Amino acid sequence: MTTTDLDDRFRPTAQAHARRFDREVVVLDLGGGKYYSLDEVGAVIWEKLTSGLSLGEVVEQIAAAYDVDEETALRDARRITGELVAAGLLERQT
Amino acid sequence: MTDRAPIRWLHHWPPDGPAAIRIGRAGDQIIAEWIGVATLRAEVHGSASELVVESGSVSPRVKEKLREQAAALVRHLRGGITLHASSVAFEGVAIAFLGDSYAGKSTLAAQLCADPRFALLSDDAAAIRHGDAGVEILPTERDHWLRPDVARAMGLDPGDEPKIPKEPLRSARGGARLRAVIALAFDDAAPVPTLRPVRGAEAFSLLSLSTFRFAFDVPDVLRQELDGLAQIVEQARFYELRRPRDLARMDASPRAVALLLEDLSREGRAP
Repeated sequence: MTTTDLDDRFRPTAQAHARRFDREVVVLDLGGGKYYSLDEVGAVIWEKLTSGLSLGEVVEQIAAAYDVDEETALRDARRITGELVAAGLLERQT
Repeated sequence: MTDRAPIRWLHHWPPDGPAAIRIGRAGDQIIAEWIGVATLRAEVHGSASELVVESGSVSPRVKEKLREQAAALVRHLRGGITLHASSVAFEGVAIAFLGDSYAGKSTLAAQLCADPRFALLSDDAAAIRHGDAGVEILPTERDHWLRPDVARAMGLDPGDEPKIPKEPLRSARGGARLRAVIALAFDDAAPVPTLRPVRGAEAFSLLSLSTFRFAFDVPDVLRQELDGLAQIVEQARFYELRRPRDLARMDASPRAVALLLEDLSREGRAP
């Protein structure tokens, strides 16, 4: 993923299967059997994005919930989103 | 099982260095190869399977281990979970011990099973059943298999064998509800065995690294695997047991585990 816009919305791909474990989320790639573990912030980003919120809405909520500035929250959200898209677990809604 | 499509290798073990075992796909078949020793071919959902052992080179013990491992792999294709774990039953409660090779899984099970209150469920491959009553471990193995130094410490003559069988006082006759999973680690700085509770994704990680896996690209099998492992994390307590490697102090670990099991058994009987 090269660029992300704050209005972008994402959905899990057909090869993603996720489960929450306390504060973390594990996402399984059904195409290759690999597990991806998301920490607390990654788990929140995954769940909010896959519930239909835009990247900008997720960033606002993360910044408020974790008392970080929006620039930091955006950097984290872009990095995690990019990794999940690159792994084929998340796709941009058109 | 006559189809011989080209094999696309998907996974190998160990992850670093020369592969000892590799798993691949050939059309509708999944193949596991213990390189130079044996090959298992199975239909994608485990409806048919065939284990072929290379002629001449393997002992009856190795053949038995290959059959156990092949059965665990085929169970995975059928949606079942098998853990690379020793396990024992105590008053209807099961406990499983995870760990790397030589972490002491067989040793700890053998020490506990020297007490007639304990019964052996598995030495190396713990078959999980998800039933209405919860997650159970089914009995799969009849003997402990011990390293020579451990066998010697337990008063057995190890001879020249790399692993020595030891019959438990009791073998479990039926499944037992899984109440605790303990990951074993050596820590020579630990003066006494220490049990640390483990939760959530860390517990899941311990389990997933100890699961016999055969299907790496079959979505419904993988989905069942994650859901089944999650159910284990929800229903069992997880701990890490750190203890010194010293065989002279090896009796302390089973005492710590026995106390934990007695607590869990009492909890299970509480109204």
